[in-house]
Amino acid sequence: MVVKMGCRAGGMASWMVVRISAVSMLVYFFWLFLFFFFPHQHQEWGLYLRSTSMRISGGLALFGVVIHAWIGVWTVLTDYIHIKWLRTVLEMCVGALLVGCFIWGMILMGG
Amino acid sequence: MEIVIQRFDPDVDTKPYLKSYEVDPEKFSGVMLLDALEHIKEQDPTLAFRRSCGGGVCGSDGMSINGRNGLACVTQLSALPNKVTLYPLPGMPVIRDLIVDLTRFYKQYESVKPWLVGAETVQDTERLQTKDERAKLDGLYECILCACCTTACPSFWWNPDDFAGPAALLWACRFIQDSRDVTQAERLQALEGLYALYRCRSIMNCTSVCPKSLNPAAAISEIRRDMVKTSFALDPAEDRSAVEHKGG
Ligand code: SF4
Ligand code: SF4
Ligand code: FES
Repeated sequence: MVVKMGCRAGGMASWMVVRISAVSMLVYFFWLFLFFFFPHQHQEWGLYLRSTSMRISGGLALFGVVIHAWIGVWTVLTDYIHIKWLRTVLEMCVGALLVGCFIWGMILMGG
Repeated sequence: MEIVIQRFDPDVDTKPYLKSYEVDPEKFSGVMLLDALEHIKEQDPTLAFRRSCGGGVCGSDGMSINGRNGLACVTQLSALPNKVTLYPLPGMPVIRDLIVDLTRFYKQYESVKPWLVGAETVQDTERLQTKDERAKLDGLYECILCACCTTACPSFWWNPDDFAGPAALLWACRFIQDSRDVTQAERLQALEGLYALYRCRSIMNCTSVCPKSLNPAAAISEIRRDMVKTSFALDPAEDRSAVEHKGG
């Protein structure tokens, strides 16, 4: 069922996933901003962002964003939307949006 | 000063309404909000509220005082502005005036098994604790179950049947921390789900309103830490069911 997707593993697991993904995002974006902070040529940026290590860490960070957002939105929806069908529809919309973002991001980084 | 109280008598009223009372603190003895309420009740005996000890011990006169949960008996009139508005504790079914039905609150309290589960072996001496073990219970055992924290918690308003709420979790922590209890693992396991413990979003309303200055939010973090530790066996000595008791 959609309702518990991503959170089936229980409260502690999702709580930890939120924290771990937050840290992974923080580290990645900090690193990225550090790079952007020093002036570089467009070509250098391109090379840097296409390096395998940046692609892998970028993919992981993007995955972190998606899972972090999913757990957060799921929690808010279960708090505030108590009409079951409406919640399910909203969850499906958010899920589709996040999966879409992930695929799009992966295509961008892969290209 | 003016005291405005939400009144509701299910036998007469269809909807709650606010009623204003003018009180002169010179005209009655006592300096607490509860004394003013007693004074009002003498003029208007239909007003209903709970009280017992009158000294912040029994936990029966919790109410929303100018939008903030507290005990009337320990709230000084001099600390309040000239106009005070009183509502029953939020999020609970109102029985009458300032009296709410706390069944859900007590159910959650019961759900954490707020009693000591000792070792199976019978001892003919006391189960002693070291000073350090005893000190771990400070800040936990003093809860008077006034429900001020739990009824101030938005997570509890949204999920009163699934989220245990700060008071029950403080009690859970009190027994998880108790060196004489042998069911730490079971207690932690019972809270692992999506709601009972993890619906706490660290909003901290609980800690800011507790009239006994306890810190349920910290107790909740403590349980989470214990849970991570035991899940990853970072601190196997913590698994007390395996540890022999020092009491004998
Ligand atoms: S923790 Fe504080 S506010 Fe909550 S029930 Fe206990 S005494 Fe009342
Ligand atoms: S810290 Fe947790 S338990 Fe306390 S008020 Fe906030 S959500 Fe509720
Ligand atoms: S009357 Fe007992 S705590 Fe206020």
